[in-house]
Amino acid sequence: MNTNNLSFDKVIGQTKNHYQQYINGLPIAEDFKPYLLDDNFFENNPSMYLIYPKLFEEKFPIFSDEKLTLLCIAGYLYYRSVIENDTTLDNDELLSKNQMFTVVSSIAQEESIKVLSHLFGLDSPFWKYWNLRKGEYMKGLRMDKKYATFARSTNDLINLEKYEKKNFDTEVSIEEYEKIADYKSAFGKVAIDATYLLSGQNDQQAHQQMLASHALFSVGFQLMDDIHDLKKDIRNSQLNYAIQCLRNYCSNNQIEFQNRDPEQLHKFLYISGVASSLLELAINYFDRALACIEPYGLVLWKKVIEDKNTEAQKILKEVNVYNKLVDLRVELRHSKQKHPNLNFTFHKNTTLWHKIANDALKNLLDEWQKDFGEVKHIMYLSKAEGFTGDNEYHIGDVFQRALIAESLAEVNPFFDDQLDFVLENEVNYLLSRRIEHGVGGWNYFPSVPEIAPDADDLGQIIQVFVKSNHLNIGKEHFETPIKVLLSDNYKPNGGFETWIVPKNDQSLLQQLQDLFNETKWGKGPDTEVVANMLHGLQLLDESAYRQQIIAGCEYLINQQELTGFWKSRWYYGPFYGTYVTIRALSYAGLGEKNIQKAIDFILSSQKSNGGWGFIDDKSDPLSTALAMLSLCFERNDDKVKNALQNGINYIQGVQKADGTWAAVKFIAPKMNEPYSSTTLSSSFILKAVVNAYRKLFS
Amino acid sequence: MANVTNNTQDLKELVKAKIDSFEVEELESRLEMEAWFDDVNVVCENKAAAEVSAA
Repeated sequence: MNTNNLSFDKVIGQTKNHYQQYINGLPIAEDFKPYLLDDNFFENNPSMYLIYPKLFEEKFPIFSDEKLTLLCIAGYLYYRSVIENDTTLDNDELLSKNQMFTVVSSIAQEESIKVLSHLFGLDSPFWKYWNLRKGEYMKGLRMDKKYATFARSTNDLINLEKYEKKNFDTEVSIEEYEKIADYKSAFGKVAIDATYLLSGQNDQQAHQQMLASHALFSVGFQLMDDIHDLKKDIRNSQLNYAIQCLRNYCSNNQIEFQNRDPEQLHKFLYISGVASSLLELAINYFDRALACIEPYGLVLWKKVIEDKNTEAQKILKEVNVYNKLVDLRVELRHSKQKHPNLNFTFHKNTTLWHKIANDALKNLLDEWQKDFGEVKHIMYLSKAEGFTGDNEYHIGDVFQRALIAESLAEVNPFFDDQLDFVLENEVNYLLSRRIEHGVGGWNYFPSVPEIAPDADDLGQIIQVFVKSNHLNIGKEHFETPIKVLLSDNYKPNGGFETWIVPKNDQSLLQQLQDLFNETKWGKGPDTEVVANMLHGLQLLDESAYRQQIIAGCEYLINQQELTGFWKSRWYYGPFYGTYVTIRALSYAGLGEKNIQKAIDFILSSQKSNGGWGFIDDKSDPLSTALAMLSLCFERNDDKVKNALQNGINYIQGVQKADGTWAAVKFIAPKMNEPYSSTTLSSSFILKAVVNAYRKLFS
Repeated sequence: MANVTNNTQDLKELVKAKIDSFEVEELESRLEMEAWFDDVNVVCENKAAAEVSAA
C-alpha cells in the first residue's frame, strides 16, 4: 500500500469500512455486533488506533492489502478489549451494572487472536514478541498501581496531609514514568513488531528506532492525559505525574494545600505553571519521537506525532495567555483605592426595593473607589492574528463605565442627587478616552488600532452626558461621528453599521479598520446597537433626528423574532437586545404592538423562581434585571406588578453574603470569550429596582 | 509565581485570588476556539478568487 498518496482521514475511513464489514460478517450472535460497531467508541477514542499497523508499514511494507487490513482489524479489536477492561476495572459500579462490557471485551480479544493466528501461524516468532509486549503491559499496570497518587476517597475532599504520609516514599521518577508509559502502550508496539516480521526485512536498527519513537510519543501523550484527567485520576486513584509535580511545587514553595478539592487543584495546576512545564516536557518528548524516525519517512506516524505536538503547543500557548489574563484580572480587582470615601446617606426605608437599591449602589461605589478594576475587560489580541498594537493584552472599560454611569445618572434623583460628584468624575473619564483623530468618537479597546469607533459606545456615552446633565461639555464631540454614521454608514432599511468609518478618503488606519470589520468583527447593522444609538439620538435632539429615528424604529420592528424578542449580535441571551429595543420604540411612540408582543414574551418566560435566564433554563440576576427593565415600559400595571415583585424576590434570594450578585455572561466580543462582571450585574439591578419602584409606587 | 512575593501570607492571598479568578471552563472554551487568522486567509482567498473571476 502506498500510504504517501492517501490522506490520513481517507486511510481511517477505508479501514473503518473494512472493520465494519468484518464485524458484520462474523458468525457471532447479532446482539453483540452493535457493541463492536458502536459509533460512540469510534468518536470517543483516537482514530489512529484503527490504522495502527499502517502507521509503520511505510518502512516495513507487507505488500498485501488484505494482510495489512486484517492486521489493522486485529489491532483495533485488541485495543477495544483493553479499553473495555480498563473502563470496567476502574469503575466498580459500571462492572456490576453491566456485564456486557466483559463479554464484548472477550469477544474482541478472541477475534483479535484468531486473526493474528491466521496471519502468523502458531510457530511464528511473532508470538515471542506478543508475549514480551503482554508482559510489558502487565508490568506497566502493576507499576501504575504501585504509584497510585491518592488513596480512594469517598468524597471530593482530598486530605493532603494524609497523602503526604501515605505516598512520601512512593514518588515516581521520570525514568520510571517513562517505563510505565511505554509498557502501558506495549500492545501498540505489536503493530511495529508485526509489520517488521511480515515485511521480511531484517533492519533491526529501524525496528528499534521505531520502538523508541513509540515509547517517547507515549510519554508525551501520557503527560497530556495526566493534565487533562487530573480530577478524574484523583477520584479514581490513578497514577498522575501532574499531581505529583504539583505537590512538589507546593512543598518547595511552602504552599499548604490541605483539604483542597480536585477542582481547586486543577486550577492550581495551571496557575502554578506546573501544567505549562509539563506541556513543554510533552513537546520535548514529541520532538524526540520525531527525531527517531527521521530517516524512515513514516508519513502517517509522523502526522500522528506532529498533530499531538501541535495540540500541546496550542494548549501551552492558551494556558500561558489565560494565566496572564488571570494575573491582570487579579491585579486590577485588587487595586488600591483611587477615589475618596463618599459621605453618602443611603435610604433608611425598610422596603425590599430600598434595601436592594442600597446594596447595589454600595457595590458600585465600592468599585468606583477602586477605579472599577472588576469591570475592565481584558483581551488577548495577538500579532499572529494580525493585530498591530504594541501590546497583545488590551484593557477596556469605556463601554462598561458608560453603562454604569447611565445607571447612576438614572437613579441619582432617587438618592437625592448625591451621585453628582461620581458622575462628574465618570463623565471626565469618558471624555479622556475619546479618540482624538479621524472621526473621533469612542472605541471598545482604545489601545487596539484595528478597532474602529462604534455606534454602541457613542449611543451609550450620549445617554450618560444627557442624563447626567453634562451635555454642554460633550455635545461638540458627538457631531462628527454622528454625521459619518448617519451618512456613510446608513442603510436603506433604516439601520446603520456598528462601525463608524467614512466611506471615502479613508486613512490607512481606517482602511485597516474596514478590513478587520469585514474579516473579524463582522459588518452589517446589529439590532441592539441600532436601538442603543437611536436612544442616544432621542435624548440628544429628538426633533433634529426625527426622520432617522422613525426609519430606525421601522428597522427594529422588522427585526423582531416571531416569539417577540430581539436577538443581539454582541450580547448573550435575548433580554438585553429586547430591553434596549423596547426602550427605543417606547420613547419614539412607535411599534406599540411589537412592544406588547415583547412584553408578552418577557412575562411568559419568567421562571417559577421569579427570575429570568437563558443558560440551561436557569434564572440569573442580570437577565432578571434586564427583563424587569423591559417590563417597566408596560402601561398595564396590574399585568406586571406580580412579575416585578417576583423578580425582586428572586434577586434578593440570589444575593451573595457580601452583598453582590453573580457575574453573568453579557458581552460577546469573540466566540468562546464571554465577558461578565459582577459590578455590571449590580448596575443593571440598581437601575431595574429603582425604575420598577418608581413605576409601582410613584 | 512564588517570585511575586516573599511574604507567605501575601502569597496565600495571591493564590486564593488567582484560584477565585481562574475558570477552567473559560480556559477550555478558549482551547476550542479556531484561530481568527484562518478566517482572514479564507476571506482574502475568496476576494482574490472573486477578483480573478471578475477579470
